[in-house]
Amino acid sequence: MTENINLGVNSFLLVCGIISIIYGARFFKKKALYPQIIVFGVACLTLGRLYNLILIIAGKTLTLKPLAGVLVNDAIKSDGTLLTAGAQIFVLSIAGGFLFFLTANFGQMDSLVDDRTSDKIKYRFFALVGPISFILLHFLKNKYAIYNAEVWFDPTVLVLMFASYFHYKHIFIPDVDQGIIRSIRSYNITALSLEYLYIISLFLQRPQTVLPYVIVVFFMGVNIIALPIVLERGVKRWTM
Amino acid sequence: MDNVNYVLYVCTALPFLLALLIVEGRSRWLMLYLIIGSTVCICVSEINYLILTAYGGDFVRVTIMATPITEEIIKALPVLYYALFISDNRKTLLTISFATGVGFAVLENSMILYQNIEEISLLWAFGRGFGSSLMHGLCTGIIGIGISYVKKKRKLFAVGTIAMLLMAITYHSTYNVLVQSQYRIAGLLLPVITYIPIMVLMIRHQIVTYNKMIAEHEKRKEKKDDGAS
Repeated sequence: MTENINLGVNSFLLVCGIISIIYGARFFKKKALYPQIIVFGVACLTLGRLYNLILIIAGKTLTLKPLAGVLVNDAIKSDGTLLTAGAQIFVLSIAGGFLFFLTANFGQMDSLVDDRTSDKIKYRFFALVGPISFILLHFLKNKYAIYNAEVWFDPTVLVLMFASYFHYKHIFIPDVDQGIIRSIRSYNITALSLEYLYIISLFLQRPQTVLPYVIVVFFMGVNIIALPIVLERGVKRWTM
Repeated sequence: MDNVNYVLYVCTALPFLLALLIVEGRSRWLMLYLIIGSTVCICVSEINYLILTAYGGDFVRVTIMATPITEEIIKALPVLYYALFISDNRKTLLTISFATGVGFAVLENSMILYQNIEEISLLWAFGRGFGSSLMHGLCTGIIGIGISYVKKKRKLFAVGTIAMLLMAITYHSTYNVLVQSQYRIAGLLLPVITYIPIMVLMIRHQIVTYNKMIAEHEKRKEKKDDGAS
């Protein structure tokens, strides 16, 4: 993976994030907290991309002391892929972004749509597909991916496990009287696909799979832009 | 010679402490949290020193990957205390959070000034004054938004505050990378660029609220007049 591709990918996702934030800024005029949290999530993901971009550009000018025998300046490796001295912060920003999605569904929406009755137990069980799939993908990633492969447990995956549980649950659970769940179903599908695309993109970050990687990143960008658009339709319904 | 950081801390905190005895009401809390911000800074400087030693004195590496995490977590603690035991009113909490960040920045700037005494200039002072203070203020302010839900919505507070914290850490680290690179000016401008739209939105919100209040007051007055006639 060349430095140019990394630059391009981060710039593209940064632009998509900015478009999404500008579109989502309208949610702050209304009092609905749910879409505001989602916009914060997109902002956090975008900030992570900005950080990564700055680390690629400005990291070259930073001189780091050798640490346990690694490179003298290991902000950027010679192939431009491994950002060891600051990659953890990027991972935290991605985890933070998805944590906002979890906050919206777990902290704000779940108590409205799940009344804890036994007739909804099958949906709760079915939603476990999310965490299980992300655990499997994580261990596969550790086995096959180059980027971040040495991390035995990525904090982002932990967040994705919980976030996906609520996305699955809110996609399939029957609607409550006000029709809230139906109105945000398309948002949950979009957010869930963004989460899967993110973890797939980690697999593809290798020199042999540049084209699939770029395609996945393109769809990630499309999903990021789509998030506030699909959300707006839902918000319109319940704030009418 | 005594530890310079502590000398600077006393020089910074004592005047605020004296002023604390004179001011009243909300200003007293504001002043107190400026002092707390400086106190947090002195505590964090000790922790950061330990991390710096562990990383073989690599200042750049530590400021990119470790100090944003330690600083943001410890700065959030006094704000959490305020929300839990004094008031969880969002407006007050945001003011308190911002004051903690600014208090932190005041002492941090003094420490950095002492460490780079031969390289400093008035331009440096303006840069640090705007950049660092706004960055610390904004980061703690972001966390303050999450903490404001501590009593109202526990679930939202628990997950949301961590998300806000991670966002603040990323922002802080972005600033640190820029400030230490060749693109120093961009680093100093980043908080200013972030602050301006927030400021504009807040002023607009205040104007709208003020106009609403006046309109309501006039309505009430008209009703009163009608009743009297």
